[in-house]
Amino acid sequence: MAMVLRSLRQHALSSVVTIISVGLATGLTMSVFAINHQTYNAFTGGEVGFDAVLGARGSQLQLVLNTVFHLETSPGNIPWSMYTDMATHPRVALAVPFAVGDSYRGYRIVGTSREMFTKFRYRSGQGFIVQPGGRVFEPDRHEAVVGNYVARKLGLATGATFKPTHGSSEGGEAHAEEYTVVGVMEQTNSPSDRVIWIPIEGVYRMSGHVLRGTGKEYRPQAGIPIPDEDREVSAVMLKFTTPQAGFTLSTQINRQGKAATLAWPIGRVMAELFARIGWVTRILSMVAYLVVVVAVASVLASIYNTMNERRREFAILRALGARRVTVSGVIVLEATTITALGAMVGFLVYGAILAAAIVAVREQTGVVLDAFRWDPALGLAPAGMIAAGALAGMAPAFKAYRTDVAANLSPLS
Amino acid sequence: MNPLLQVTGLARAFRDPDGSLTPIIDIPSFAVLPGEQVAIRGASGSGKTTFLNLIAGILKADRGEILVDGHNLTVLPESARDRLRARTMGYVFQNFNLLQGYTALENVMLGMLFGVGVDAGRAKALLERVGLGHRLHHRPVQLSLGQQQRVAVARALANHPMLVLADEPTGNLDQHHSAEAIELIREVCREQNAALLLVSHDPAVVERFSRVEDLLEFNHAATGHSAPPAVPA
Repeated sequence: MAMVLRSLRQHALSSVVTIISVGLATGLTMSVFAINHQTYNAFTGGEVGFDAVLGARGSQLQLVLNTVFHLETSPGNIPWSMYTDMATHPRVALAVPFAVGDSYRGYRIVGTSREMFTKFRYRSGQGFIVQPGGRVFEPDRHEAVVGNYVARKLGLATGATFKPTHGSSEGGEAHAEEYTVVGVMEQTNSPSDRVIWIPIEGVYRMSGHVLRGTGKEYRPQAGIPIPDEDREVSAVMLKFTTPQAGFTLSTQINRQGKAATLAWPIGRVMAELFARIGWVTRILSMVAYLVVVVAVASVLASIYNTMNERRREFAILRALGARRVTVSGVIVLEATTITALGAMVGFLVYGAILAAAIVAVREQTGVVLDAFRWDPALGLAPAGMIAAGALAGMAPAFKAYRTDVAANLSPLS
Repeated sequence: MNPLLQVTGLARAFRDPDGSLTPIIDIPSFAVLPGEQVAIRGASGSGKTTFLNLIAGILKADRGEILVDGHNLTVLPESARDRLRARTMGYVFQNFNLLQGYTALENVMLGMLFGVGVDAGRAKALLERVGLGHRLHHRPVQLSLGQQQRVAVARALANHPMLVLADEPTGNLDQHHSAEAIELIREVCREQNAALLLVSHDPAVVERFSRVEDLLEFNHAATGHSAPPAVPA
């Protein structure tokens, strides 16, 4: 081993370059697979607190993206009666209405009921918590509870005021109503951190909003209660009493009905998204494999290029009594050491890519990837790289094996 | 007393570019006793290095027998010859053949790696014996030619060899340093109870030995009286 380290030091530049290239390849491979798995698990297997989403007839995926991950636009509205039907359904444990369509400086405003804060559990036993000094909005006031990420990004604290903007993106027309922040949520590491929550009544009564629950336009008037038949919701978030309820309701709503769509189960719906974009993962995997091939070739080249100058060294070692397999073993060990050191660098590269991915995914979706989650790729990629490196060392090792001792020691006399 | 080294009917030929075989070594008989110091005189190209490489087991003989401490090198497989060489022989090369990336001490210890095992104390003592106690951690490029040669001598003796082979060990030294070096090699071999077989074309070197053999006389390949060469293995 001392001989190997000595050789690496003697050829420091090529060793360092090769170690870095192996590190980049290992880190890239680990990142492609581990981050893909993590993202897949976070979006398909992570707890979201609800079992299903009821919304307008159309794409289940759009419905889930819109309500669970607060991405995409709403596919449309459904009548308030569908919410009340679900809220009173014996197999539904919790039904929470969502009304969307407004935003503030690019962050979505969701109109909902207080149950979102009192009954909803986004993870087992864990509900939304409003930070000390704040409280949940009152249903009939212009009050808002701000997600932790939004509060930090926009500097919104309890007592701050803002005017919602029409539409989901920045630059929309500001509504006349001014809302007061009455609470900031504790961090949940979920998409809810990127949302501003207001009472659903507030969405209905926002200036310029029109309700079409009956099919005809209804403009809410101040001080006059809105008839239930005119009310609409963008979606109803559902928690079932049993898993069978999801199957039964899915059959009733999706196959037999024509008015709405039930996105159930949410994990399967998201899995369909990943299945659709699976080709991206495959391309990234192929790129990673190609980089691995290039890195392994660089290991081969860096050692092979030193073979001519080292022939004499091998001949001396052989003359001192080293066996052929010992000398060639040194070469294989050298290749293995280079790739092992590269694999260590790979973990740094992986850490950097993962950190960037965590920030990017959180910025875009609010989902927080677990930096310390173990993935098989974190073991397989370095192990595979080391094995490939050892294999790459075989060719120069064979050359060392065949070194003609007498010819490389000194001129014949 | 049984000889330490007994060579009988040894032959080795090399194939020329035109495909024909040229005999280089054809020695009917040659022997060295334990602890004996023998100088072999021979002109350049007379087969001196080939003869030493055959004895060391680095080259394989086409025919004949080489007995070293009772072991017949010519019938041993290569790995066994490597082991025997590491345990029983030391080799001082004309150009010293020190490993450039290693210090003097490491070069000597490297010699032990394949023989008796690394013994830093002995390596240090040997270097001190050859006058390099203050140059232990110097690399070959930081040493003079004479000092490099002394490191090579210390390395050759690292594994308690019974036989030290020296191939033109003073070829790169001036006359004054050459005389010193030869005396040093002879003294140290005597102290370590190692036989010494030295080849040189330099009369000033060989005349210091009580037994001097002329390769032109006992190597029939050099005299032109060689038997037809066997096909090399």
